[in-house]
Amino acid sequence: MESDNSHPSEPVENIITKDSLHAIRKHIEATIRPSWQAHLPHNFGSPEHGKLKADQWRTAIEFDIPVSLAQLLHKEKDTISKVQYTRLSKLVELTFNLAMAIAWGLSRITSAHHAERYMFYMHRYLNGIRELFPDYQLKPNHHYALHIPDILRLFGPLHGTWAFALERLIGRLQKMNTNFKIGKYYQNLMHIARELTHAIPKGKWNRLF
Amino acid sequence: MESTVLTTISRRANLLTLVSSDKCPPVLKRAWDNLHPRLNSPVLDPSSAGCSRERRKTSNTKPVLDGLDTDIESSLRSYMYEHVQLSPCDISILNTKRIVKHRHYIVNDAQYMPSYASLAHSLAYIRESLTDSKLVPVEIREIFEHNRIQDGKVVVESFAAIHRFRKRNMERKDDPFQIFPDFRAALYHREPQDTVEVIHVNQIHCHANQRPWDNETVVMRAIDRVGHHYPFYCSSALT
Repeated sequence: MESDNSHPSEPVENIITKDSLHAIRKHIEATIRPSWQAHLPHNFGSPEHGKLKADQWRTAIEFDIPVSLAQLLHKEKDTISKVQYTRLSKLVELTFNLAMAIAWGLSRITSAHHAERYMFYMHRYLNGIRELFPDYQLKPNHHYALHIPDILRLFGPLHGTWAFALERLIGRLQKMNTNFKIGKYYQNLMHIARELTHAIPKGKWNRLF
Repeated sequence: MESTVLTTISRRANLLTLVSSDKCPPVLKRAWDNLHPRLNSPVLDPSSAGCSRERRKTSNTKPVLDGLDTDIESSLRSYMYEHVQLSPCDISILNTKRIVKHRHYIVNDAQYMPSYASLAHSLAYIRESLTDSKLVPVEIREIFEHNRIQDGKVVVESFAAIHRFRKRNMERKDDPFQIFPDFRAALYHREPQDTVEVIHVNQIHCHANQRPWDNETVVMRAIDRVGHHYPFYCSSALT
């Protein structure tokens, strides 16, 4: 390992450089995976590929990103400074914690043990974020993530309650071309809704029929 | 947008197979060098990504009637002797000359294929036995259906001929996955063992991700989304 010549306050984001990103893309390209598993774009990490789908994020976090970061750490351990190595190690650990939390949380078979393991790794992940990125403000989604064990215990595996189907429908609706004019069918529906809101409080049911 | 259209057209035209064949015209090969960086190459042919081993390419997905390779036949006889407890006399008259070989086979709604048809679909994790939960990574060489007469009845069962991957015994500092056992990944030798083994198809558990780690090593992980169940992995899965 080289002598420590980097500044201790060097931002941790600099560890993942453009070269690292290129290396990660090469790793992703060399990965063998079955065709049903969502594939990641060849220019992963670039804004050109647009937003990743949820299934692609899942592929990325369940294998590609943690393994790539571990490969990066393994490859660069002799060339980077001690401070950078420590930071990259923490980043790798953080990512693995997230990957393991997701694996336990998204299992189609669940139990109190799954909920406990999920919570254990999610806590470690969130504590890791606070330690590694002290200026980062945690988002409400991080808070929601801590309620998932309750859902696992009360309602069973997450695929029974997740919103992928509705998200997909919303995606299709958003892509539909529209002239922004309300059609006759929807006008009728809105008319009925308006009549209902007026009639029900006054008990004037006969106005409706 | 253009890249997506280009990738789709190339995939439909099976361009990757064409340029990697010997019959491809030189002009196409030269054009491919310019075209390739602009394409989403893993999507073009998922089964060939990172594949270094020679494999036959075939579009035929129908089962074929054929004889078993000698080593698979010998392994099948061992399996019958151990698990089905056939008498040596019954084993000696086992039919291994007309076997239905499957190009693809569905186990638990997932499609598995022999390595000559698709390497990506041949990498799998299997259970050591039908009652065991220990998982080991393998490459499926052949999937076949076998008929035999047992107690006066015709018994039809499907088997897979597999090659196991050997785990690499590395020090903790060289193997980062040892400290994350719940991640369920481990380092294995790049080439599977030469010894072939016959297993029941129901022992196949799930597909696997594989990625080169260095020249002699690959990292493998089971894609088991159904049951991330701790007895499978915490006890003895990654040995």
